[in-house]
Amino acid sequence: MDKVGVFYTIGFFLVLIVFFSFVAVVNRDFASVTDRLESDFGYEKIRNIEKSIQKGVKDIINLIGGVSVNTFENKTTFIETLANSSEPEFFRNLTSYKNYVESNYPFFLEISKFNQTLPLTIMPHNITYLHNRFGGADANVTWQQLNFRGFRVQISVNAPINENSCPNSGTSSSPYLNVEAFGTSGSCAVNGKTHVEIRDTLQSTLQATIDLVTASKTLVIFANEPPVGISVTVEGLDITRDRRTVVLPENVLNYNLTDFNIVKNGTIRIL
Amino acid sequence: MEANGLLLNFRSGNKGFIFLLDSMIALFITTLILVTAVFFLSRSEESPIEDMQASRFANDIFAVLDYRGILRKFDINEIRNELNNLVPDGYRIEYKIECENRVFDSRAGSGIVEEATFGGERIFIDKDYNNCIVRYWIWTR
Repeated sequence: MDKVGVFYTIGFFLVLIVFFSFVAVVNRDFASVTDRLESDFGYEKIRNIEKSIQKGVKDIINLIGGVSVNTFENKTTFIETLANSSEPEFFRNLTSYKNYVESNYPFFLEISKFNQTLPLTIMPHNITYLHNRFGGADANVTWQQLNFRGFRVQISVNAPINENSCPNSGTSSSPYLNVEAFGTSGSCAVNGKTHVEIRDTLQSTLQATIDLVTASKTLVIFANEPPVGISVTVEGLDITRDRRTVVLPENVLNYNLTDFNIVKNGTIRIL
Repeated sequence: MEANGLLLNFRSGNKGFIFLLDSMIALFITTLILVTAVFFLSRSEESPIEDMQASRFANDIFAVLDYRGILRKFDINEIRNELNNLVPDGYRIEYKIECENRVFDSRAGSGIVEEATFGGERIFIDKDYNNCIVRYWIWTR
């Protein structure tokens, strides 16, 4: 009978050892989960700031630079006025924003990589809308592969035009170029040509020129009599809207956070 | 008679001591288990998951205000109304907007001296194109 008590005691202590082993395991896992959550929390905070910086650049391009980008179904449209008169204010605000970001956060905004030509690239198509010089009289679209069907260019000029105001030459169907021009009064339209001029009703003053150069894979729009409002739509994009983005060049938003062991050289998503 | 007394002492006197020792060990072990349980309960109450969740609420709320252009306007009444609509029940949120030319702190005059540990911040441009930072804190009521 006395020996039964000893076995009870030994058994109970074994149960106790198992219990405290579980406690130790749970405690260790809890600590590792807590550490991981805290580092996730830090990443989220950084990511949130990064996204807000991107939103700021987008606002400067859109609200101050006067360049807007829209996407709808299989089309992406770039809208601005040539020559872009907001260029001085755009540069000033962009520089001020860069200094403000870099003085408050360990982020580096490489504005020199985009402030001269403002290249906006539709990804993954790699079709870029850019300028020879932002604020100048031209806008270009370049492409690498024919992964779209064509361009629709809408032009608004500050002169009266009529149906004869779109003299043209050359033909191209792939990619196609469809042009619609609107004046202070009247309009004209041309489809499937490679060179289109927009002239006033007297045919005397050249208002704008549109050239589709398939050899160099470039569409050039030139405002001969600025200001000229342009809307350039890339049509028939073969990737759905959800998977399409419009971005600035690579490595424009960089950070090196040694505390979190994160180094990132990224782009800024405009859309 | 003496033998009977010795027998009585042997049968019940020492048992009392053993019972006392046994109950003290049991009490010690029970206390140890209770303390462990309380320790884990208190740790679970401090769980960073809840704080992270609250922080995500705050991030999302201020992202909505930014994307809807409400922060840009720097209209404090509109921001307050939107926060009343967006902040979930049971949470309290306070914020401070610092622009290059002006500052607004929702905590000013409210008697709140202690900042919640969890929150975040975002940078934005106001309607006059001044660079601004909004910092916010969130905690359960």
